[in-house]
This record gives sequence, C-alpha cells and structure tokens, in this order.
Amino acid sequence: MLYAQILINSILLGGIYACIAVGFSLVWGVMNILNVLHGTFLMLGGYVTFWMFKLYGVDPFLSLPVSAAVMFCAGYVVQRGLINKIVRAPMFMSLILTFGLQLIVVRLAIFFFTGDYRSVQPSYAGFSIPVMSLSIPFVRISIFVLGVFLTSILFWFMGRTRTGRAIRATRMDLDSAQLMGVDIGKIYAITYGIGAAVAATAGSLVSVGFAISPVSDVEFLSKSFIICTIGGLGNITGALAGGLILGLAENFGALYFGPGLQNAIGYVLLILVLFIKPSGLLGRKGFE
Amino acid sequence: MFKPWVHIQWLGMGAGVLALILLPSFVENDEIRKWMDILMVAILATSWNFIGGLTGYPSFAPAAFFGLGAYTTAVLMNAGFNFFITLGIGACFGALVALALGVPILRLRGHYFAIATFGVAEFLRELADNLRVTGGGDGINLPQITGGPDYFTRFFYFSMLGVAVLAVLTQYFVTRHRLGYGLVAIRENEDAAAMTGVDTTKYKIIAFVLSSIFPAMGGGVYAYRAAFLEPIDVFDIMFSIKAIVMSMLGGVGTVMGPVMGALMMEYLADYLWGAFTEFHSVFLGIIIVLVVLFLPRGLMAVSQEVKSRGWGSLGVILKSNVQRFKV
Repeated sequence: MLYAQILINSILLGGIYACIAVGFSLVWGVMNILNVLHGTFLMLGGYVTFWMFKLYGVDPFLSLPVSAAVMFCAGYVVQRGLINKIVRAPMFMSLILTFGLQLIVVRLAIFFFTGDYRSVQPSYAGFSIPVMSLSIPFVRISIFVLGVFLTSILFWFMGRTRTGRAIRATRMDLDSAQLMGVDIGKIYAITYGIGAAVAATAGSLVSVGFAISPVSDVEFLSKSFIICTIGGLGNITGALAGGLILGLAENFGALYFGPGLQNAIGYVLLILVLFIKPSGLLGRKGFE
Repeated sequence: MFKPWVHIQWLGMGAGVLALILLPSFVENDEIRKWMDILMVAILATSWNFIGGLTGYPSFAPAAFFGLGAYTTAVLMNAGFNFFITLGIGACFGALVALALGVPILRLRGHYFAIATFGVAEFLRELADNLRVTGGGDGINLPQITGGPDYFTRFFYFSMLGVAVLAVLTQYFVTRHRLGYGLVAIRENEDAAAMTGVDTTKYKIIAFVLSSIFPAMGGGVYAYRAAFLEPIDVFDIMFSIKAIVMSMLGGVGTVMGPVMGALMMEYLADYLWGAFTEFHSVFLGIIIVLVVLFLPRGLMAVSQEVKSRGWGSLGVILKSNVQRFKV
C-alpha cells in the first residue's frame, strides 16, 4: 500500500515537473538558449496568481490566463529587446545574459514581495479523493490534469498552426527559414513569449499546491535542467517522460536513501544520463 | 631572435606583481582585504579561462573545485595537517576529480557540457550538505589562525597572491606553448583540430585539470580565512558566474583579460554599490547585461580597436558590437 501511494504521488509530482520543464524545453530546443529566466517566469506567474487571490479573491485556476498573458508580453519584450541582439553569438552568451536579468528580477521581487514563502490557500486546498485505502489530493490531481491538458494544447499549436510551423522551421535551419519569408526576430520573440507563458501557467499551478518565494526560481530552474536533459530536447513527450522519471526517482530515492539526499538523486540522474546518452532518453539527434 | 614586446610584457607583469607585494606596506587592513577578494576572483576567472576561454567549453565547475578545495583544507586542518600541505592536497584532489570527470564530461559539447558541470557543482553541494565528514548543513569549523589582525590579514593576502601569480604564470606559459595553440584550435573548430593532429581529448582534459587546480587552492585559503564553512557558501554557483563574466569583461582567451576583468569589476562594484549593499545583485545583473551586449569580446579587444582607430570611433565600435550577433 505504501508503494502504491508513493507511486501515485510520484506520478502526480512528475506531471507537475513536466509542466515546469515544457517551456524550458521549447526555448532550448528552438533557439538553443539555456534560459535562466525560466524559473523566474515561473515564480512571477505564481505571484500573479497569489496576489489576485489575496487582493481580489480570484480563484487560482481562473487566474491562469492572466498570468500566462502577462508573462507572454514580458517574454516577448525581453527576447525582442535583448536576447535577439545576441542570437548568433557563442551560445553561452545568452546563458550569461539571462542570468544577469535573473539577478535583477529576483532581487527586485524580494524587494517588492519580501522573501517570505507564500502559498495560495483556496477553501478546497485540503480536500482529497479516497480511492480504496489510498488518498489522492484534489489540488494535485487538478494540477496534473490541467498540466497535461495545457501541454497537449502546446503540442497541437506546434504541430498544426502556421506560427507553430514557422517555429519548427526556424529550429531546423535559421537561415533557410528566413529565406522562406519567416520573420525570425518575431518568431523568436513569440517562441520565447510562449515559453514564458507556459512557465507562468506552471508557476500559477505550483503556487496552489506548494509554497513559493522569490528565490524558489532556482529550484524550478535546476529541475528544468534535469528534466530536459533526462527526457531529451526537441519534443514535448521528452519533458513528460523526464518529469515522470524525476518524480519517481526522487520519491523512491527519498524512501531508500533518506529525504536529505532527494535533490542529490536528481543530479546523479542528470550526470548519468549525460554520460550514457547525452541527447536524452527520448531526444532526437541534432539537438545537442 | 629579439622580441621586444615579450620583454615589455614581462616587465609589466613583474611591475604588477611587485606593486601587489609592496601594497600591504602602504595601506590599511581593510584595503588589503579588498585586494584579497580581487585576487580570489582573479584566480577563479584566470582558471576558468583555461577551459572556457582558450578551449571554448563553457564550464560552471569553478564553484565545484572552489568548494572541494575549501572542504579539503577544512577537513584536513581539523585532522591536524599544516595549512600549506592542505593546499597542496586540495590542488591534487581537485585535479584528480577533474581528471576523473573530464573523461566522460568533455565528450559533451555546448549546453550539455555547461549543464553537466553545473550538475557536478550542485551535486557536490548536496553531498557536503549530507556527509558527516563535512559537518553537513550545520557547517564545519576550522582552527583559528593565531596572531593579530595585522599579521593574519597579510598572511592570507600573500597566500592568495601566491596562488594568483601561479595561476597567471601557468596561463602565460600555456598560451605560448603548443598546448595553448591546440586549445585555441579546439575552440575554433574541434573536428578540424582533431584532423590536423591535435589530440583533442588529451588537450581538453589537461585544460580542465588546469582549470581545477587553482580554484581548489584559492578555496583552501578562503576556508582558513573564513574559519567556518557552509556548503551554500563555497559551492555557490555565483563563483562560476563571476569567473565567466569577469573573463568576458576583460577578454576571453587572453592572459591578462580575466585579471583586468576581476580588478575592474570588483573595484567598480565597490564604488557603485558601496552605498546600496541591498541591491548588490541588481547592479551585478546590470553590468552583466551591459557587458554581454556591448563588450562581447571584452575590453581588451575594444581597447585594441580604439588604439588603431582613435577615441572618436568608440561609439561606432560599441554599436558594431551590438549589431554583430543580432538576428
């Protein structure tokens, strides 16, 4: 029974992890940017939900579109105004640039929001659904379902819409896409905006089930690193698989090695995957 | 063959080192401490330059080796070892870890290499947080140094200076040796380098090992000086970031660039946010953004262009830097 409960918890956690990583995977896969701001967008999205709940009593699940829209705009501006200027530079430049922005934003967030841990506590926060002798927390299963739903929308968007096709074309070959009439600067900005919006949605979801603070962005970021590396880049199922694997490894690792080493297990997994199959378990070739 | 510029470089370096040796005789302890911090980050930046600047592999490992050295000194000094011996052991330990990690990690390229080194640093921090020998999350105390503040400030200053001079000299010789040219060839085009007979695996591992030795020693000095270590203090990814940004500010792949970058950034930092300690990281962030946008090839490159085209063209040079990499 213990194992079954841990299994369920792991799968739910894995779904949330997948949500957290999907935007990161998109930005990395398309633009070859290690987006250090990703965790920051997540954190800010969580705060949008938190403040809307706290100040106006808006239900957290209803504020998702707002936090997504706000962060899409923020992401669009950041890419258009700053990152687009160094797209062709050696790739670690974009990493350093986003790191600089992250330092600024996180410090300001601490100034405005204080460093306290916050969590959205709607009236149904404590509910759980009993299934036989197991219990499934209501909030977590909602997050899981919503997360999977949003990921499928993203999947559909990338595969079936004109913008999605332009994004994929840009990923395959920057210059050819440009010659075919794709406005690269705009597509990059849209892609980055989508990445930020997806991150913000995940952040809003996370703020309901977990506590967030301005400095939790680092935690989200390192989880995204691990998940994308394990799952592989270039497809959204990679993020799902990576999230599930990490969820399972952390929960069962905590059971066997003690909860103190829970985070270390993620890094061991990361390094092992990089040693054995650098392109990730489900990664396609050509995205290294 | 007589090469005057080589002698001028040697003279310049000698004068710089001499100035740093004489410095403690003229200034207050506070000022010495500031210079000690500059030297520490100069060590990190110079070491990063071996693997990141010359070889082109964006490593986030400086924090890992720094922490490794710091904890080696802490644990061994508690076991009764002499401080300088622990520095040597720390350097060897760092080199061994770099050697063991280098073989699998250096097969990775680009972002995967960056993430792997980041993962190593974070893993070591988690490990230090949980092992008994490192004191876990509670931290670890070191034996206090005896003597007055005048004495121990100078003691740590000269230890740091020694490591820094060693690092810069090593770098100087590497860049003028077959090894340095091989590393630059790897940075420019690894496949081509391999084809022309550079043993890329061996060269990269040597660069990685070199980039591990000096941070480990610097970490040792830091540990003895701090007298108390926590995992979060020394396995801090900011050390890696600072090393990278300072190298970039000065000029990636040059000998003096990282040192100049460290000097400028720490001094600038002191001036700029002495009054706003709370917003330290905001200013650091702004500097990072400005450096990446306007000085992607460093101050050394810009100063050379200014030398050949005159100060009037500074605006044009900066503008072309921004235009260079945009889509």
